[in-house]
Amino acid sequence: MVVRVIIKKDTFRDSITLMKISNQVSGIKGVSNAGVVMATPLNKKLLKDVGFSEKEIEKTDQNDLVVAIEADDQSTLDKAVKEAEELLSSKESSEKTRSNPRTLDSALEQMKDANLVTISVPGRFAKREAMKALEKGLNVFLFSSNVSLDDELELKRMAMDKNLLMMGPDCGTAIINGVVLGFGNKVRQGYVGLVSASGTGLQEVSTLLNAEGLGVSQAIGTGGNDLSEKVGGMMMIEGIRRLEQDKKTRVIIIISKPPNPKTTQRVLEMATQCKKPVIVNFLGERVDLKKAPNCTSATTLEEAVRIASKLIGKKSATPIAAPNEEEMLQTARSESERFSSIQKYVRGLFSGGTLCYESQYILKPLVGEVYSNAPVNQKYKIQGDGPSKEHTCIDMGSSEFVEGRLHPIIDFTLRKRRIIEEAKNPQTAVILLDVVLGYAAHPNPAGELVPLIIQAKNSAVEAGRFLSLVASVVGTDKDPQDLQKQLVELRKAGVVIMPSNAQAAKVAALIALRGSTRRV
Amino acid sequence: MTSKPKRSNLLELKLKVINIGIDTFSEALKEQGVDVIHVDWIPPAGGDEKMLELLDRLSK
Amino acid sequence: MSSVTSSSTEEILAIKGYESSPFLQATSTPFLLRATSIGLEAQKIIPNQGRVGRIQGVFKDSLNIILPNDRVMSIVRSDIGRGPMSIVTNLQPAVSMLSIGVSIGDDVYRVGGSFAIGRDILTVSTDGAEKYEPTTGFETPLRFEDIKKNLVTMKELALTSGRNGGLGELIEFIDRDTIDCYDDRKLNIFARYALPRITELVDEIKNGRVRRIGKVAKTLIGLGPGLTPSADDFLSGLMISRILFASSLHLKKGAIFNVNREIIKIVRGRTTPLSQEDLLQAAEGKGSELITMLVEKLFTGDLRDVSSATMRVIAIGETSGTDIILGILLGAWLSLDEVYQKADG
Repeated sequence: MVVRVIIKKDTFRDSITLMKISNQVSGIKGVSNAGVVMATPLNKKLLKDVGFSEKEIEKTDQNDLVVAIEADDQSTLDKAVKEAEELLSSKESSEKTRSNPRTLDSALEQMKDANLVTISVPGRFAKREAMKALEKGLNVFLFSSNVSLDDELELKRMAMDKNLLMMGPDCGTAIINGVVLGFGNKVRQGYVGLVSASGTGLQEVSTLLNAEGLGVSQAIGTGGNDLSEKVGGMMMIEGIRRLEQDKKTRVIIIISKPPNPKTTQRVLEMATQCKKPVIVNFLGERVDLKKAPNCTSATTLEEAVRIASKLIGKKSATPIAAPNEEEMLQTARSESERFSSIQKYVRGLFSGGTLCYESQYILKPLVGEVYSNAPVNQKYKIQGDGPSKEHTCIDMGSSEFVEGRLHPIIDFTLRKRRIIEEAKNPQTAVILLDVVLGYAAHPNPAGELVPLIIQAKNSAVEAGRFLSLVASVVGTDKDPQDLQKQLVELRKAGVVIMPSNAQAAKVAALIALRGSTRRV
Repeated sequence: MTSKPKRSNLLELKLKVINIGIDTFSEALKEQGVDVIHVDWIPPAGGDEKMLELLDRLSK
Repeated sequence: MSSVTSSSTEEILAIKGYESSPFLQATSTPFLLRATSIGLEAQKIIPNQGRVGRIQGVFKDSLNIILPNDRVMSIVRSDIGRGPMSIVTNLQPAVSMLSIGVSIGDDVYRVGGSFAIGRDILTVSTDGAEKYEPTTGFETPLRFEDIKKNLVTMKELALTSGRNGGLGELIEFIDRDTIDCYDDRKLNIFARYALPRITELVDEIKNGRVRRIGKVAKTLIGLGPGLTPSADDFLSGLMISRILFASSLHLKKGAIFNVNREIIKIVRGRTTPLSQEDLLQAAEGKGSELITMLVEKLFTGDLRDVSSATMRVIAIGETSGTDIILGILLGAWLSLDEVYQKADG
């Protein structure tokens, strides 16, 4: 055992930083003990009690920061100390941040050959920043939302004039030349090109393709409002054009909620003229493509992947290619065995708007109408932050939830709270979730959800009910999170995991119907 | 700063990125080995709304 | 790669917060913020003119300023709640205060109606700022049964969504006003150390042995991780909630103030300046509005109110919120038990 303490005099870092340093250093293999505390008399006493009796600690006072590290051997200790020093100095007040540029222009002086600007500033300022980037001849990935349609149109027109990509506003995901922008998963590079107005839709399709052994050439995000009547699918159409020319792309999938008729017309015109096969994935809508021999319609994300797989000639018997109805029914029966007589409702809580939408489309023919804050049928609209009504699917990434908070892919607070609420309701039969991994997402969603799920299930049992949980996990083995571990932890907690959102929704419906396919 | 020639296509270039806003996205790009510069964005005019409107009008 | 040192006009203006424009001169203009709220306690002790103090801490959402006598005041971003020693500004949540250019050691002066920080780095005007004074008591429309249900809700939420690392691990073992934990091996070192001392503190409070309280407080203040050590946050939660509960339940506050004063009598030199300030305020029943709001909702709110207020407190700092909730839970039960005792005659 070897020990070192680092003292930083008169040093105040915010508590989140202190905890981060403590966790990160503790997590290094070979570090047996690591603590980061302010050198108050009591903390010093505790440090001494656990074996850190270094003289340097004695000379400190309550304005000083102490990092105490104990490791198995000297080289691990040196590594840990180095990492702690780096973390401490990287949050060093103004020093380091002053060396980051403050504007696009000064950034360009540092990187003269920049070709892409990714922007995630508040909506009010977003157009301005995007405009500056386009004026400089740079492509734009605009994560920010709350940009008006007029502004979006202006930005996209300018981009088209200059032959630039304008991905967004409200674009959460893209994969360009194998690089994930915004949220997104590490997937194989391959032959399938995607153009998507949906963030989580793009994520699920890319991960399912990866699971099928296929790969993504490019995944262009258009932003959530690209297919509005005003914008008219400008970037979707441009995306199809670019993928048609892209040598690596053999099959194109376009993904969106069903657009208005005018935009549908424009987009389909482009798709039918395209020399490569186009899979039109308008969620929940079977499109008449008789006049377009190169196009196929897919109503769910997994169906699009299945079709792509066939077109590329993959022979697979994966759970995506061949969902097993009999297994689903069996699962439904065993999950619903211990239901009380009044348990009947499905409660879906989604971090992805598209997954929420797709689920409603799957649930409806099986269990009947579904209420939602982002409903397929406007007649069934409810407040997102209000109570659920009968069968309900909530898009927790919708604007009423993300004001002043991080996106639910990163921050689980509100979703956890909602799970508790739904679990307490005696009429809730099954809770349906999406768990989205990948870059910029939460480092351990299972860690956030599992303790809560176990507690909720136990409470239900105590109250004479059985709470069923069904989830799909969007992720790959190469994502920063450990996919297999996430799956194991969730399964251990009794969550039924399905390979796609559509199958998860279907199983949830079957569970609510107690294993019969007829509405109870 | 010259603007890009009309023919260049991002899909054929090695990405060189400037990130403005949330630093998580810069970190994710660095994790992927991408050249990225992070801009410590502050609202122009110190966030002063009246000043911002004035600047916008001046620059039009 | 440091083009910052070869500053163009644009860069200077950008650092100072102004866009480049032919109509603006490249003068050294400070970053301008407007205060929307000033805590009443801060208002009382800060001079109207002249030197106020010195910057002691610079964080992404706040600046801490050390005043004479080791008092601490904060200038915070708009997404941070109001407080008795805080000045809330109109700085947008997307912007980090670390990027304004304020350094530790910068002087803070009051000039005209504004705070001037550093040499032309930051100016915070206080014209039109509201004075903020935390409430010191609420009317209680709810019955005891409902207040107790709210306490259970707060506790459950803290268990599922609270943050560990401080004393939050003790919440699970709270049974009304005692902490029933028989196997402390699973607790983190701070919780393990604090457990018997917290039990002792609660005993002394219940038995009215005020003299011994200072002695026990010495074994808690400054203990734990965080810029405000966990045990301090616990004590703040305990002290504030007891005052607010007493006001609302019409209990005598004299004894509570005595206990609180014994706790803070020994605070000097035992904890960080910021935490010391929080404890001083808490002894008077004053704290950030998020804490006051949570206690209010325990008395007057429904499930959703309490849940929402609890989550907002949990979000304070790293473990601070959770540690505060531990204090509120114990403080609440101590007060409710007193009422029951009264009722039993």
